Amino acid sequence: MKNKHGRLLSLLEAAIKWPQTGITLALVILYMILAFAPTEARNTFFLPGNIVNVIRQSAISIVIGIPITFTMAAGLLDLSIGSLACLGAIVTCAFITGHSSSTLEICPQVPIWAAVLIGIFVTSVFGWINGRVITSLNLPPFIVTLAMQEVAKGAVLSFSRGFPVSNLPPIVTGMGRGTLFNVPYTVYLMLVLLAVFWVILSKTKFGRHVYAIGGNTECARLSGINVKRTKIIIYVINGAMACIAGLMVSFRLGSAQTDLGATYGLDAITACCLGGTAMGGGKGYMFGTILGCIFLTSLSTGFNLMNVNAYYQQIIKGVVLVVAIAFNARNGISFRRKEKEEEKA
Amino acid sequence: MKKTIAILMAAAMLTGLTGCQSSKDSASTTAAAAAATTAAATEAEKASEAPAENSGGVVADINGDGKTTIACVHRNLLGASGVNFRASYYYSAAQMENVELLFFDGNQDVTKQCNYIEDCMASKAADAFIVWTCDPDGIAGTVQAAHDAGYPIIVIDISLQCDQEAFVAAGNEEMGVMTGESAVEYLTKKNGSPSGNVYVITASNQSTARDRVAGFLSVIEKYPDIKVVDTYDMPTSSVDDGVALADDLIQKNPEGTIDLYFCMNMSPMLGLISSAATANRTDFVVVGGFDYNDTFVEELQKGEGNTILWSFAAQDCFKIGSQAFELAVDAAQGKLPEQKEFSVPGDLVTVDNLDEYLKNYNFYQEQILQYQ
Repeated sequence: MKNKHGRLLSLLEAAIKWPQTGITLALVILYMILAFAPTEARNTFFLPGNIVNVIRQSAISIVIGIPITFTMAAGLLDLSIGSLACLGAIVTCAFITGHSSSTLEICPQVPIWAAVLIGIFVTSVFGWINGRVITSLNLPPFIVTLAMQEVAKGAVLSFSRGFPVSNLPPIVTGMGRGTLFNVPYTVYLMLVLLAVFWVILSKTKFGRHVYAIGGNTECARLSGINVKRTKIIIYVINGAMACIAGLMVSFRLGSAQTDLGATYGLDAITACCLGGTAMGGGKGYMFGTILGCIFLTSLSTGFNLMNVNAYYQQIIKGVVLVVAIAFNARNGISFRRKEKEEEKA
Repeated sequence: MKKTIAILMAAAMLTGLTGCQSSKDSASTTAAAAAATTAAATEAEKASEAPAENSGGVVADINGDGKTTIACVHRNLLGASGVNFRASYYYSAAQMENVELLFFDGNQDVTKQCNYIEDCMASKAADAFIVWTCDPDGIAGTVQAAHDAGYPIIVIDISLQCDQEAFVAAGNEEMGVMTGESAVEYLTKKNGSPSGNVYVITASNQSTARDRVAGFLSVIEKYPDIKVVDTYDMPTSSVDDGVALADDLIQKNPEGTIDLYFCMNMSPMLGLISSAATANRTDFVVVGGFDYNDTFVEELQKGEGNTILWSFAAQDCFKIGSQAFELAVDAAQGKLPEQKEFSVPGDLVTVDNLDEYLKNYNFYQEQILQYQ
């Protein structure tokens, strides 16, 4: 009896300490509301078509959330990721079609695979510039990436002359809209990327370096980690993944729009915070980010199915962000206090 | 190292400012005598002009440099309308003598737009303003101040509650009416009579959207068997929100529940076209859009029955931009327009008249290509 009681207590303690407890509970509560509350969502949210819909929309935010998890775990920030998604989409689609508006030729037409590589290369270079400026000049990531956000927006408009890029070939829209066993191709892509980066973050030296830098940059440097190089690699990854996310949306739409990706960065940060990744660095949870992305997408979809006024939706999203950051900050303080206690011991 | 860079940059800035000031001073000294001579001639010229040309407090050639400089303060350059407005200004300016153009992109930030206007006033860089705002309430005060200072104001597309010389727009309500008539045509064809279920996507925070919806509903309401089943108020125009909303609407409204979606602008329309294709839904159509988009053209080119796009309304950005620019130049030269509102008719594009529309559109595109 005492053993069972003890086991139950230790289970409860483990559940409380588990970083994803909060977001899991939030998801459960949200789904219970959607399932049982007398609203229009009750009849539609859990239909197979809508589940696929939620997963498809979450896939894009997860692809953005993956590199942001790395970034935040290293104690960094990247506000330019949304603009880079737009830039990557515009550049890739322009090279696929050879023009922006139907009459405006802006670049040579190349095979699709080459266009994708060009787009990823361009956004990776922008990411590299982010990393280089931050590490060489020792400037705050917030400021540098905010500036890069504007630079990327300007680059989009300069390159495309302000026009979206349309008339993508059917094979491209097929990739964006097609399914295999009723699961969109974009979800498979997301799963592959997730698996790759999950392994990198949790099982490789690079992943450990990311955590070490986020935990204590000076200690990491003194222990022989090339801090500058690791940070630059993180931003290059951000750039590349931003392009992929932009292409997932554009291939589905059949066009690359110049206002794409406006809220990607903020949504990804919210999802990471909800999932337990520390804003101050040192902790990053890919699983938490996935749950965070699914929560935000389910919230938005649920609101639309319930016909909640879009203005109230924006208020609630803002409140969710504040709550997420508040919990994150509290965990961060506890984390640092625990670290100091361990050091003293 | 950082301190050194900061000091060097500050020194460069100070040197630049001092250099500008000293060159301005020397220029103004040498020009003073010339200005005095020409001022007298200008005053004589102005006295001989008809009094009505300078009525309403507007001052011709307010910066007194003998050129006509028009400052265009834009809400954004995202999409065909913004780019085509700008290109039409440059095209018009190129056709005129002694006319210059200053173009400012507000990038959806009303504070930036206000700053541009105030900067132009402070530096006397412009003689008149063309304003396309992203926030009519936010910019009205600044535009009023510019008008009170004597600057002619031409407003395009989104109306402002302040004094202005002219308002040039696409006739959003008229386009809404055309779209409504197109919707009735489709519903009659589909259901044998003007009947069916309609879903309206609006944006109550945008005057253009409100006008378009008003025009649309004014037609729909005449038919008691056409029901507006629901309305969604979409405050943002981003394509990501449009796609997400479209996915959710398709889930919420299963096959056969909605016959037609009205979209107050491009982003929900693009979203619905994409979501319908992904979900293999062909049981409804979309109308509206209210702007040129290559995707809309591509969809209509597939032919009736092969696309969910029934029609799209397109404003004539070339004509709006050109007319606004000509009015601004005239006003800056002291010739105020006789009427306050100019409605430039838009086009309703369907499968039937697509070729005709494209002929005109491509003709204008070629004219202004070099200015895009």
